[in-house]
Amino acid sequence: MIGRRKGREGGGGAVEQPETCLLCELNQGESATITEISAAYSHAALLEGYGLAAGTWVVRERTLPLGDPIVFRVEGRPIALRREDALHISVRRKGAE
Amino acid sequence: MSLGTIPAATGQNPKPAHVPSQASSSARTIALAGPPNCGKSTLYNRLTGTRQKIANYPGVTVEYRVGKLAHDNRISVIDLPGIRGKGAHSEDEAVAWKVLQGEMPGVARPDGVFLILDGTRLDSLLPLAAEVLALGLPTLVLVNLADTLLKRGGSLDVAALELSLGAPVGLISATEGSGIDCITQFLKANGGLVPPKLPPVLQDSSGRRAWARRVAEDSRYRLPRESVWTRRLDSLFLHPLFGPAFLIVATIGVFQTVFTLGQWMGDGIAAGLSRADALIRPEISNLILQSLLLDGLWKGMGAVLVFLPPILLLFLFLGLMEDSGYLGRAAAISDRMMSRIGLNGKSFIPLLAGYGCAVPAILATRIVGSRRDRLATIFVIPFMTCSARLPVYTLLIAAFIPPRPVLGGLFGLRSCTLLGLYALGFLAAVATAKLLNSSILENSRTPFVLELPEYRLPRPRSLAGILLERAKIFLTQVGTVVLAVSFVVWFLVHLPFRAGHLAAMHESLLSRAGQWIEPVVRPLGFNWKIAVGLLTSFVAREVMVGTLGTIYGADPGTNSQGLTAALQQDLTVPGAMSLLVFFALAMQCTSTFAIVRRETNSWKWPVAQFLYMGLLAYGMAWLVNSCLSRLL
Repeated sequence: MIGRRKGREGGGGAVEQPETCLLCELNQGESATITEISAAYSHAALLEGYGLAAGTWVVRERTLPLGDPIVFRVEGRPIALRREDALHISVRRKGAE
Repeated sequence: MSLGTIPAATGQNPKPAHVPSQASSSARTIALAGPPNCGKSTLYNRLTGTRQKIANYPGVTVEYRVGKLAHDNRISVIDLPGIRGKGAHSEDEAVAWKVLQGEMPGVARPDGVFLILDGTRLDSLLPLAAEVLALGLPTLVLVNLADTLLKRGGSLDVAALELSLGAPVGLISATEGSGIDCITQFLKANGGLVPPKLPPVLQDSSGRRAWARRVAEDSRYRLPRESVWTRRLDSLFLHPLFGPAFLIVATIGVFQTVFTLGQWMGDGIAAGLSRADALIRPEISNLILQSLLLDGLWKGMGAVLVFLPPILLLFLFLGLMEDSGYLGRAAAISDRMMSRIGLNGKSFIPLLAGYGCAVPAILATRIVGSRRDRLATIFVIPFMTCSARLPVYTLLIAAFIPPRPVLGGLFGLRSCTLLGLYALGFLAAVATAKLLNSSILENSRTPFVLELPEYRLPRPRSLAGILLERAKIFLTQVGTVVLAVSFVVWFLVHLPFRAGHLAAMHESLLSRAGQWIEPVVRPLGFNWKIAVGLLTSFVAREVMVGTLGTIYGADPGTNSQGLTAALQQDLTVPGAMSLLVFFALAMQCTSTFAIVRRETNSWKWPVAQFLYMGLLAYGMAWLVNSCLSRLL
């Protein structure tokens, strides 16, 4: 597990999944770049304070014991985010690590 | 404050450490701002030492601390709540921005800012720095955890960063106290405090982030390696099985400690107070004065003072959890459960604390963040079975529930009843939270997003600071509100005076009031004596036991058998059950009322809460009494 973050540019090989998806659809350990936060979502400014904004690099780190929230590494910092909020964030996959 | 005064203060600076009194012409205020978990409070304590006080901003519930710089008492430092960006949703953050912008009514705009940033994640904090620098206030940027940054292989070119930000930058370690001399230099700078030279006018967020990336690059910022310990501990504390198991065991352990150790220490205080009482009593010859001072005020304050140890212990544990970084994990794990009832994970700890005492629990809701969830949490906390209900529960259960075995002797009927009362309170809390969520608080659901900070060893100094603060606030409360209430109750119990003598219980104003409200409580199965007990229980629940003891002429401490027997004669079984239900649901606690008033900064919330809980309690007690009366 240690040193995963260095895989920032890694991947890009045989990826069968669609290139863009929702943040909560990422697999464990998969990294992606945020492409947009849905305009209908009224808390975008709040999420931005945690680094969750277009252009940010995220890694899905772990799912918490009861299945929700999900911990993402956002620019290297672990951020817990509920699935219902992660639904509003679109990302571009960087390929599974 | 006019700008003209500032250069005068710094140009020919006499030795500031030896200026005895505050020279108001050169007094300045510096705001300490920064994101949460970056060592802001540690730095604040280091800068101000013990010379600080807590105050509330007018019109809001947010507390702030203000203190004088330890080596220069002309400079006040305001410790602002942690900020992330202007898109803040919590009341605390909004207040911090308002103060920085000079828009907080009653608070002058600060003359300068110490912006403290966590050096181990500086790149992600630069957009925030842009927003703060753009305010145009003279700013000193303090990069904290500089030692950790270097130790873990990170790097930063300070001179280049200063150039990019247009503001002076200091590398510090708030914990070690190293590097903070840059603050003295900043304050002494020739020509006074200077606003940042290149205030980055970056209005949109993507512009700010592009700028931040450029600044990080220009100042050759390299992130330190991740903390290996944080990763290891997280795979333990966030483990699918061990994580929740640890959380449950830890919480039970904490509450067990808080309320056994706290009770023991509280008993110590009570013993000390009554010894003092015995010493003073013979010294006061006037019987009325003796009764007022000792039985009224001294005992009244003493009854509340015994809660000081559990409250401090609870805050000690909360402080330990917060400082170590575990609190965030506990909130994250319990969020799933809490979201089902319309609250969020950050409400979990305050709710649990409610099992001890609603007062510290309501104070603990400060960690909840969003005002909406905080209000909902405050509203349901008094339903959690607090320790003050226990004396009443124990008394009534002992009097009316036979010690019969249940489930083949596995449980006793008495402990089952007690458990049922705990469950009743919990269910009422859950139902109320759901009700709030689908009614008045419906349209303001806020996201749950939480940064999990690195694990750190808690520091005794900052914990001691928290405890000292809390003790001060609590003792002020005891010295004011509680004192006043005790005063009023004593008069109600003892008026009218007859020929210089105190009124007997049955002819006091209080007992008349009891007889007057008897028709109201008769449908619940209570007589006037119970009604009087109920009346006094609104000061604090456990007071009821003492009142009943006085009324029935038996001291519950020495002769509890007498009180039990008296109750059995005076109360029917349905009446006793209805009394238990009433206690489980009603908000009979002046301290809770006062603290809700203080924390929500409005009368609306405590009054609504009091009426809601009171009506619910009355309705349910009536239902229990009338159903059981028909059955039995």
